[in-house]
Amino acid sequence: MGCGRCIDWCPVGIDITEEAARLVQLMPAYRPEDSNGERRRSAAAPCHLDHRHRLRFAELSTPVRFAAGEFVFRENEPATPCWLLGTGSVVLTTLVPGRGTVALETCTECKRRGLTCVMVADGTPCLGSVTHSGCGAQCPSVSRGCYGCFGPTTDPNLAAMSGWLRTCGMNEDAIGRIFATFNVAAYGSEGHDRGAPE
Amino acid sequence: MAPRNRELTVRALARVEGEGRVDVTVREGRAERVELNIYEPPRFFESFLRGRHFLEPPDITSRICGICPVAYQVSACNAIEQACELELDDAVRDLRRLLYCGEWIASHVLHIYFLHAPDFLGLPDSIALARRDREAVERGLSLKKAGNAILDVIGGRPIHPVNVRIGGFHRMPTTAELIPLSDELCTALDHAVATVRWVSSFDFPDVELDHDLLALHDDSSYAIDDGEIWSSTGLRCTADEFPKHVVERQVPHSTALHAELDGRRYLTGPLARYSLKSSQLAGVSAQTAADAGLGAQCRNPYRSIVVRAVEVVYAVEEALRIIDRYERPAEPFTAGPPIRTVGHGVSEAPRGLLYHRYEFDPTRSIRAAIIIPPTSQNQAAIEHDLRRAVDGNLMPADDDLTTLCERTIRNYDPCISCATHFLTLTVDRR
Repeated sequence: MGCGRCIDWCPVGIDITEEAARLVQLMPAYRPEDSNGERRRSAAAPCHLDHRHRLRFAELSTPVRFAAGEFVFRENEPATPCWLLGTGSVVLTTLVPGRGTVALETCTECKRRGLTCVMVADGTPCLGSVTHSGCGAQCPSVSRGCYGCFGPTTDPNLAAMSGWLRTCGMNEDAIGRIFATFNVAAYGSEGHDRGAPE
Repeated sequence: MAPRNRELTVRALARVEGEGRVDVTVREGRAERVELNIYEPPRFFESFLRGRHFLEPPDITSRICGICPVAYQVSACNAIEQACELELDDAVRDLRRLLYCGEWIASHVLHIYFLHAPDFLGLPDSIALARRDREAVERGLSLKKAGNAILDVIGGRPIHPVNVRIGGFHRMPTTAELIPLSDELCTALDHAVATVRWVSSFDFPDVELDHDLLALHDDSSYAIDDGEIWSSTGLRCTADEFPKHVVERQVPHSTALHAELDGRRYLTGPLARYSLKSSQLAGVSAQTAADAGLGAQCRNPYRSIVVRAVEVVYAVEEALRIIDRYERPAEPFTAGPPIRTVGHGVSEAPRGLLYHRYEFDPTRSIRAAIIIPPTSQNQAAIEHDLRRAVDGNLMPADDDLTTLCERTIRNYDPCISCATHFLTLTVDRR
């Protein structure tokens, strides 16, 4: 919170959260007219922008159209564009054959980049195989281990990871610290077994 | 005619980093109360650094700011390296300075083009600026991109770089990896000079500050990544002595601590740096500063936009010089545990001097941490400047006076989230 990343990204240099909060405060709920001409609250307008402000945002955008069933965004692509939904809906899924709906690990991004595994090759502690993907394996690309910015992946195998971290020379205090930093969620907060030292 | 008693309100100050407000009460034409209210909740960084391993602060403290993460990393490294008594290879120091130049370029350009310039052009924001002067905004974006490219190539990513560690870097880039940066920076140098020319054509109100100025000094260059602490009233001290001179105190209306230098209000940042060290600028940056009409000192807060633009020219030139002489060192970092119990570190964040202090226990964990960011040090100077803007001001319309207050604050490029952190203005005319 308040780290300034949004203002850094924003092409117009404004704090979007502040502006959005103000718009919500000032504007009546977004109520598109239905086929009968009756005004109703739309379930698909969570930010409650009124028509005028939607148009204002739309003015600053480039129109795009996607066919039904088309992939709009794939994990690991740079998340640079924002979409203002005109009509239709977007479904969010991650499917891996044999594993169902899951989040991919940073480890898979490393493999795709063809980077040498820093943990296997150099004995550098790395959380890549229990961490949600999305960064593009930044840390292994500069010869350091992942420290878990994107948080734990679905069902992380912390017992196996803890064993590897011990092999890399980390003691229980250090393992406790690396699993609980300042990121999205603490590893093991869902009761995942961290495994006892042998 | 201006009302004798007035109350002004800015519900949400735009074009500053973070959230806060200003309360101004004017009674019988005089500013009775001027408070810069920083109300963002405290972020407790100093508390949750306790118990962490001595190698962790660069990764943790960089999260304090998405605009100046390198400043936090470098001040943290300087403090901890002092406690570990590490001597860094010159090439490693150089690369750290190069990374810092990237941050100066990106941060200053963001403020110049997107936050500050609209004030001088009577425009609400940079979208309006893009409609009127598309070329200017494109120049700004291209220049910011050049700064980001440095951060990306050396730091691993433009925000919260991952490659910085105590004692140096995890991996040193190869000479070949830096070559594309040189090409981009040559274009950026033209854009940076054009930026100085552009901003120096703005109209500047005639205001002179009398605050004490505080900045880092280095005999060999315009200090960025480290240095001795110098003030305009003759103070010379090292990072260790900073706490003897700078004392923080809580004020009721702000979640950011106020700071005093030997009991006085003071200013850190571009105006302080330029006024104390302009003689160290050389080459294109010195020439553009002269062409822009800046003297040896600049104490006009509105002209801070020109000083920032000159510092961008300097950072681009310096980045080119570092890349030119770069030879990849054999070892990317020097390692060693804390030897002293306490370490102090300073560096020049884009907004001013940033101080870190760490105290370690025998297990090499952090026992206590103190972080003093530039915006928190500048609060008293900003309030003083606001008071002067409002005191005896004859503007008849509250809206105009409110706008003036917002401009007065934006001159300082406050980073409220860093300070914890700013802005809604309430003026109470009684």
